[in-house]
Amino acid sequence: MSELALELKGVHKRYPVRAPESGAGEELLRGVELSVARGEFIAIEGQSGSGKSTLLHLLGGLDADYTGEVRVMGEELRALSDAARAALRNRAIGFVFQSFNLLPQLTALENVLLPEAFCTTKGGIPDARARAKEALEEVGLGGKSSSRPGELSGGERQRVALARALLAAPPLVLADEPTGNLDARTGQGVIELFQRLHARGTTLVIVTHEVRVSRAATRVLLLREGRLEAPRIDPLQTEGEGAR
Amino acid sequence: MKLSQLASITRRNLGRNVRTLLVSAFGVALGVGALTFFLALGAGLSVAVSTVFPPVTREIEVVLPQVAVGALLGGDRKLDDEAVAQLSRIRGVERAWPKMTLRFPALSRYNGSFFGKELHMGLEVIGVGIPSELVAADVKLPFVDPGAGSTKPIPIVINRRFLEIYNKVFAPQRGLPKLSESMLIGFTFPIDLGRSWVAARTMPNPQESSLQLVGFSDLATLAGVTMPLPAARRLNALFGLDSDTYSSVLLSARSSSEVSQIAEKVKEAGYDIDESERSRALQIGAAVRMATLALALLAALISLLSSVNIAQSFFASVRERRREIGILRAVGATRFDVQSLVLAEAAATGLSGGAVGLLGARFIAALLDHLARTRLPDFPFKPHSFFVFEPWMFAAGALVALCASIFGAWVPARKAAALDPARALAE
Ligand SMILES: Nc1ncnc2c1ncn2[C@@H]1O[C@H](COP(=O)(O)OP(=O)(O)OP(=O)(O)O)[C@@H](O)[C@H]1O
Ligand SMILES: [Mg+2]
Repeated sequence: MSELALELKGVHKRYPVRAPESGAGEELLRGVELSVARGEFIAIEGQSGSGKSTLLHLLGGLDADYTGEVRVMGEELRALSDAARAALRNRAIGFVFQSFNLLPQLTALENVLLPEAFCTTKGGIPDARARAKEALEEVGLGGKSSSRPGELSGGERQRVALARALLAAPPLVLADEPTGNLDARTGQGVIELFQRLHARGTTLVIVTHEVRVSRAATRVLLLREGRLEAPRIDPLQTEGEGAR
Repeated sequence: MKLSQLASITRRNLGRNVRTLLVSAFGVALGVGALTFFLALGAGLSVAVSTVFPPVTREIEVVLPQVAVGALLGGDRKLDDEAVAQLSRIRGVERAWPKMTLRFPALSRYNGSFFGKELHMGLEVIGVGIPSELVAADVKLPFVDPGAGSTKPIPIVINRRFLEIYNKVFAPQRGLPKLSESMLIGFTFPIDLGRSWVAARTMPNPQESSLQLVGFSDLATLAGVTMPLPAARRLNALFGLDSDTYSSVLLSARSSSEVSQIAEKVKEAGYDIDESERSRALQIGAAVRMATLALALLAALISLLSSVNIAQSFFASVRERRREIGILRAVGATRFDVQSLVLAEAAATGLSGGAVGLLGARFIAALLDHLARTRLPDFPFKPHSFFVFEPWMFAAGALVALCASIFGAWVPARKAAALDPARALAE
């Protein structure tokens, strides 16, 4: 097994242009290099529109339309079949998206249980139901397990998504601004949760604008002009500078 | 993906777009309902037709050709004993039954009490003689010619369908009593042999005699009364008419599968086949089948339209749920899983629509039957039900419902499966 949880080499990504007459679309990722060892806690910062979400989708095996190399848990994504990529997402990756995360017709608990429905390993996720309830407790939503997303606040919805990302105890958790909708106290709770996961050996890649998150991370990277680089200003020292 | 999870997610999705799905399901219900309704109606009418015209499956009636080609060529074809023997030797023929019509006119005049009513009536009677064994199973009294000089009535059998027509049309119109077969057995009435309403046809030596009804048979002629062959032969001779040749020969095939081959041989031998009875049953049966087929095709067309409707609403639903599909993919759904989810939803919609359609068809059929029983006047051979629902029709209905919905949702499902999850989630 690879020592690296993630490995990106010369990754380029260009979106097909929406209006063809405006010429070939601008390249969004222009040679991203990244090596993340197992157990690292990475925070990714960057201006709005710099391509952070795009990068996270690539890391999560949701997008195979790139050039270069993306290895997740040692596997080159494009070499995998659709089913194999789906299985990788199901077992190895926990996802928290920036905005839309939940199926509106399912309750919070059912949303958390969703990965179990697509688990192809024999016996599925062990004790899935009990673990789903535990995960909801862990994000502070134990009392909302039967609420529908429509009845939850934006922050609550994002925490349900976080609980779902934890269900299968995946070795890699990817989160896109998980604290963006949270007040200071709740946000702090989520950061502490990340720290606990980190302590358990989970690899975390968190896209964030929040200094508190970056401070908790073991490494902070900045996505700028299509590349990942170390931030010029140490976020530990200049609070507020890390935000947009 | 596990089946139970598929079912559960599908159920939730269905619960969400109830209104659009109801429209889709209604289309399927209409198509499937119409299909089973028409199939059942066709089957019911077929049954009704076969009671009016029992399909003659093993009998062939051989007659002389209308325009005897043989005669033109100098040949002289006759339906005599030799011809009967020849016909009975055709492969597959079990037995040949000669028939001889009365070749003189006859008149039945009835004056008197008829089952409690006064009846005055005169009828030209057409008679035909047949071998007694042909109707042996149907007669209740001896069916033998009493012979010359006897004062006993000549036994006759009449076709069963007469009684139905008498009871449903004739009797009600004239205020005559309805009769059952058992009431009529033994009924005797006078007949003037050699006499006709048409004066010119009356023979010089008319005879008074009487007929006694001894049974009802499907094999009896529809055109008059059927008597023992020796009686017909004797009476024709009495009037100095041809008593050697037969008017037709009925061939019974050993099995119905041999009928067409026998018919061919009969024609090769220069005879003709009287297909009026057989072809009437066949023609009406064919007409019913054609009508059923046309209506079933119409129903199939409705089903096809319902699939177009399903396609439309599932295109809309997939478009609306792009991000949800993205989420499903993110938590581990394969393209195939996504496709299965959409198809399962369509199948559930279609099957529930189909079930409603089947129940609806059954209900409307029951309602129409009830109206027919209570509101329609009685008519001959009025069936108790115009519909026959058979299990295969329900199975076919369910299958059509399933196919229509899967067919309609196929392209939307493929589209959902092909969706780029990253792009859907970025929206
Ligand atoms: N499917 C797509 N097709 C074309 N362009 C896209 C697509 N998805 C994103 N983009 C463009 O790519 C750029 C980067 O988008 P992305 O969502 O990755 O940015 P981001 O860094 O996550 O921004 P934010 O901080 O606001 O969330 C944007 O300009 C966006 O318009
Ligand atoms: Mg983003």
